[in-house]
Amino acid sequence: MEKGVINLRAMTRDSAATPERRHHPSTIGIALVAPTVGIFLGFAALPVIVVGVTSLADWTGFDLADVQWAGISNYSNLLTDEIFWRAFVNTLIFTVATTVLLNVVGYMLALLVNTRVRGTGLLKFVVFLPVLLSPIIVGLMWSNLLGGAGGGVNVVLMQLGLTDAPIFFLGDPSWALFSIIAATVWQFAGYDMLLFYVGLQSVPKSLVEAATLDGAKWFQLQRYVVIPAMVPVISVVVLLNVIGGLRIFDVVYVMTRGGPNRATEVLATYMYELGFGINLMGPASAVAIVIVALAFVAALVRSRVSLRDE
Amino acid sequence: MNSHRKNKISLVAVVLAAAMTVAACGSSSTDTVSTDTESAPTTSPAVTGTVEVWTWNNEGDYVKVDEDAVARFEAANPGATIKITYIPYADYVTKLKAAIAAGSPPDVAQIPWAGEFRDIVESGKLLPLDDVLADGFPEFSDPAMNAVTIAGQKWALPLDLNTLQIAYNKDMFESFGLTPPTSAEELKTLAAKLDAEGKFGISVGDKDQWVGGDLWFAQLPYTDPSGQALAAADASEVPWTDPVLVAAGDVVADYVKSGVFAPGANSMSSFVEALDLFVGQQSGMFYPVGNFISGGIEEKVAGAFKWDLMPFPPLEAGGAAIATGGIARMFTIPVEAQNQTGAVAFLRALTDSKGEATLTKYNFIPAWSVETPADASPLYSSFLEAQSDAASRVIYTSPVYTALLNGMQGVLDGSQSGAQVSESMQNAMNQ
Repeated sequence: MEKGVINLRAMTRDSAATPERRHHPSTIGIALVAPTVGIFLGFAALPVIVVGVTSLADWTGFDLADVQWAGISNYSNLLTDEIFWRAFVNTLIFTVATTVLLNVVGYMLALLVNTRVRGTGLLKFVVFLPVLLSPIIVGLMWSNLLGGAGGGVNVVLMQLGLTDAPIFFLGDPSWALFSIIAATVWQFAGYDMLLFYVGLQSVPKSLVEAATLDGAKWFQLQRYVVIPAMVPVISVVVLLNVIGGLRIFDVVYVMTRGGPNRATEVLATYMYELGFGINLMGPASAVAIVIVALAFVAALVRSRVSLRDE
Repeated sequence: MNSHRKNKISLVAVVLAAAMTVAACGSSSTDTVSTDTESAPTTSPAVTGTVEVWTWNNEGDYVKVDEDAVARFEAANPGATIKITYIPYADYVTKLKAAIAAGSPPDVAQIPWAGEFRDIVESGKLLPLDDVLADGFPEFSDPAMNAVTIAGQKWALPLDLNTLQIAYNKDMFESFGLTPPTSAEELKTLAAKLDAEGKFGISVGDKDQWVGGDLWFAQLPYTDPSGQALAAADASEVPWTDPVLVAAGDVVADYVKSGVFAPGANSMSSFVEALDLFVGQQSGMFYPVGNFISGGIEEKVAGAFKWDLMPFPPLEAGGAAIATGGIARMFTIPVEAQNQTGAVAFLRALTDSKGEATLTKYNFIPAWSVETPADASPLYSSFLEAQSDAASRVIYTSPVYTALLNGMQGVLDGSQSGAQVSESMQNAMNQ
């Protein structure tokens, strides 16, 4: 056998010879895993199961004695609910737009920081800073900057002569969703930058140097060397962005509350309105399950892509 | 017995002891108020412990009203304390519902007058207050009592009433030679003249949505002189697409097209950016103003200009101008409140003769008959005058109210008509 190569066959044979160790983990092993499993079951799995059950019921949310079985009617009603479909489309637009923009901006920033020229350390800090803020604070800040005619952005645009009349970013249906996307990208670009920056450190320098010596231009270097080496990182970043996009709530709620006239309604804000605004916990739970299902599909796709690449 | 088994028994004993302790805490006696007429107490029992009060009104002078009642309550009930929690309105209903559902509500809870009120009443989690209000409370006005009565029982204590009117800059009007409009056409002409002077008409902020609903309510007294359509539609007796209801939305749409409102209503919060336009004299008018915010406006204006109030004008000249109104602040006692005796005592402190004096001192309109103070300001007199014939602004069916609020945002950005708003309200009713 070649030196340094692990003998998998031998390992398999050895482990097959000691079935007890494989099937009966030690007590200490169970004890070590138990807290994590307990937390997952209690705070992730159980709530999803409860929401799943609630989605099949009519319930105002006040008293468990009032729960009534509704079958799949909450789901079938969503199919003809215009507001749901508007929220669904808005959620997809938001998710795709933020995922693309966050990846592009984050990657570019990571490349810039990776040059390690003077000032990039400060840049890294400044770009990452918004990630540490609560989305509520970010929403309020951008609401002030974009709100009304006297918002900071309008003042700057008008003083620069870029527009004669104020743009009502949050009140105009054609601008509102774009404004929220911009605020989200502003906040989370630093997060993606950091992940890409870490990923760039794992790209073999020898590959980059070899490609450079062979005369590869910057774009060719990225296209044929760096990005292929970064696929595992990119797939994780994309998945995180997609899941974050699908469950977006706080920034939308603070900046527009889903308005004007549903122009920025997303699944999570609609779920909130159904559940806490008009006490329809069943339909609200059905919307929640749709969000979970979409996130699950995204994770599944990412998993398939990873398996294919491996 | 080996040590392993001993440990198991010890663990079971600890768990049992903990469970018994929790059970004992859970079953601690709740200080309840009798709702049975025959056994209703005629003398107030001793009040002890903490009374937890939840409200969202931390603006204007409401805080002073609360502080006054707390001081008198605590002086009269040594050993008892009031803990008031101010929760922003945006989160208030959600938090209250969660607390009620969790079985740990406050002892006194302010409650909105719209659909949420009926939803929570129908949940069976509020104490009926018929007997409580019959003992040691003022005689509340009939409209106020009607507003808190559902299925023949009273579920809330109405503290004060409000009217919503348009604030206008008297100095600006005088300098441009303008007078308060007496018809819809005059309002449009007025807005055009203000525009010619580089000023906006009425600044409204509908980012938080509720103001759009009030714009719609404000037109109803004129499109539905009978005053019956709103309640009838809410009771499914007439459709929300009834012509008089459609017309209310169309009047607002017409005002929008005529430039009556400052642009960008949907991008402004009412009492922030929209009010700032009025305070900064960029707009000549601001809507809506009730007594709950008039003190705050006075502070912001700080004497820079004189301002007054007027209702939206009738559609045709010669008609009476009617403000919209309703209960400003009302309080409930949840069934699972821990200190119900304390809760009732605090509500009495808010509404007794000294509480009434405090309310009128700060220009609030008590929900019971009061003498107009001799030194009443013109603004307060305006509130009292408008209140006498104010029209209702309540829709109790939550999905319909939500549809109205969203639809009116469409009206304000010019994309929806009154008919479309009514249609979405009817769709919400059907669902």
